Amino acid sequence: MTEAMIRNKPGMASVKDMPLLQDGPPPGGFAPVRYARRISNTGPSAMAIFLTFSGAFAWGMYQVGQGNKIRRALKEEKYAARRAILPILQAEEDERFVSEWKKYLEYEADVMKDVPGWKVGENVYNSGRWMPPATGELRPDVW
Amino acid sequence: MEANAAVDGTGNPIPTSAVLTASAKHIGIRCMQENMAFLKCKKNDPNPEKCLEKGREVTRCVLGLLKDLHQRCPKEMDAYVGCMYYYTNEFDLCRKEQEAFEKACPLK
Repeated sequence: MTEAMIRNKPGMASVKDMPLLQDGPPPGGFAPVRYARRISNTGPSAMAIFLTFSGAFAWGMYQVGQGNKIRRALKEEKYAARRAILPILQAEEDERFVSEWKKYLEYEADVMKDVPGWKVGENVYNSGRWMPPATGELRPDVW
Repeated sequence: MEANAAVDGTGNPIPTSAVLTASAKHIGIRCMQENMAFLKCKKNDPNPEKCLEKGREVTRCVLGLLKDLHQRCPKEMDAYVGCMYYYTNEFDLCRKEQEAFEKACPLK
């Protein structure tokens, strides 16, 4: 019933005479749509792109080298400072160690005085080189 | 006494790490003989009892040098040592104070 009310043409005899109500193109058709590719051939050539890339890369690596040079100079400065102050630090530690070692030898002599045939002190290794004491008793604050 | 003071009560510079790194370049130049002698002795024999005398020379040279530097340019040295203490012995962060220090007490 509603179709007849929408689509009616005045004077139609039956429902079969209703005019068509379709969604269609406007008269004359739609405007033409471009779907063809348009990729232009202008712009830099392959060689130009490659050379730009290589140039940027080379310049970047050169900057890396310069930066490494600067960093190496800074590290060298730090190491040179450490080399300069190493002797005084070692000398102070030597003094401290020698006094501690003497105290330790006295303690050892005191403890082992009743043991026959005990040579106080250096009965460590046989190689003849001096080795630092390995037990960790001398620096309980460190170990 | 703050930790970043360069001198103790009697005006002797305390050889803390900040003070030593601040004067490291001077030490490297002025005490080079004593340092090399000590290191040669150590290379020969690492026993600390054998190199005590050379070690005392090194200590004498370095502490004397620190005292001398502090007497000649106290303000610049204190500023540089304070900067070293603040930035934990990072040379690159104390360039200004380093320039002022080396201008006042040149490296010879």
